[in-house]
Amino acid sequence: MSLLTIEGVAIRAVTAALPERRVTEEDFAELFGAKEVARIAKSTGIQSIRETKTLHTSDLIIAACRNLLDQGHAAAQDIDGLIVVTQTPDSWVPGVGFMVQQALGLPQHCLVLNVAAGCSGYISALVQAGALISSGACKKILLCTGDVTTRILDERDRHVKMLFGDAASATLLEPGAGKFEFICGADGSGGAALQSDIAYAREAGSHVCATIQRLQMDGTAVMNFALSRVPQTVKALLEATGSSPAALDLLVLHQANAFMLNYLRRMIGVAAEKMPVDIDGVGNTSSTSIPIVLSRHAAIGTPQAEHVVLCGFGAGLSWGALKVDLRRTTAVAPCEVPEKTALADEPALAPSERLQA
Amino acid sequence: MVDLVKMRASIAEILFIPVDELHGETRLENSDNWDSMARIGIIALVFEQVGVSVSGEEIERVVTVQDLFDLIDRKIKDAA
Repeated sequence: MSLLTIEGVAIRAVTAALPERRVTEEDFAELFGAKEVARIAKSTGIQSIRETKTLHTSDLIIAACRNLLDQGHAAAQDIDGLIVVTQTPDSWVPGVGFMVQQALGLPQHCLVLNVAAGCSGYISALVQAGALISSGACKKILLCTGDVTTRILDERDRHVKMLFGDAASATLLEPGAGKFEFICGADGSGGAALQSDIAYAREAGSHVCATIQRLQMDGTAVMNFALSRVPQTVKALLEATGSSPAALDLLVLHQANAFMLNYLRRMIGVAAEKMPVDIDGVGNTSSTSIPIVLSRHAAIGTPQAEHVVLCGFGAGLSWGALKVDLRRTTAVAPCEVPEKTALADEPALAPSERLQA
Repeated sequence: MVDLVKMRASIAEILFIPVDELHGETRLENSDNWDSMARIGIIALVFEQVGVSVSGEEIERVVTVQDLFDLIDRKIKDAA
């Protein structure tokens, strides 16, 4: 694993958007029994999650972007790069990025990139955004992540139902004096560990040509992957940049679950106060989990955020750790997005039904 | 050096049973708590304490608490 560096880039601001609707421990207890729910929540550190029944990924991302742009760091017409990371797009074609561009009124010369990535996606998209800024191709990039993962879960599986949540984030990147130092990797041989397959099947007379399988997670394979890759990658990054766990201000890992994070923290050898666990009340939000932590952490934008390492890991399998200075980054508290009341009672239409409607 | 007493306590905690009820002949397959979360717990425990991976296949072959002890024992010897 080798260290790569992108210079001349700064993360200006970061925020998130959470669905207003909560699924609480009491709600879970009705489904799976109070004793079982308490046992699972104690291990995962997740007592409640956010789940939307009516919002699409684009709705959450647009809300996050507006929450950020409303702070006055940039005007919509100045955004010349938009990157959207999701694994639960509103539609198969076009990508969510084009819906976001339209809704925010971003200029037509804006470069729109749609990235299909999971829990490591924030890091790989930061690398992509950093490269575009450093090369001079873009001056202001909105990097968005967002998923409605709860829509692709098996509702009967208490381990995933009580784990994943819905959310989105927006990060503004600009040219600056900072740099990204990072190590990224991928191992496609582990693809089946986190998978949602697509089955193409054309039935005569139907407008539907494919169905998407519910998210399948091989928990033991994912745990083995995280335990072996995450400490190794973070330690390699620290060593290559002449740093150490003790010298770090903050280590923000993908918020998979508290149980896994505690093991990873001990193996990396970093103090608990330097490694936030901010997962209760939201759940595992895939590529949005790291920006949620950043948007709610008091150290961001202060001298205590000079040496920050972010590390994502998950579907692919893939991983990435990135060192960045966040002293001049503005953390904007996440906004809450209400359910769409007009559509709340209507069942979702299949694509074929929508076409006929 | 692997702390077997601590490891035993951790196994009991993962299975949600008192440590003095952790007997070799106890059949895990009869326990509601021997689920995917407990299996992941054992994998993490062995990785942290012994430094080696337990595969999903290895953990699936565990039937009794004694099988679990034997598996961990094998991993400790392999790592030595």
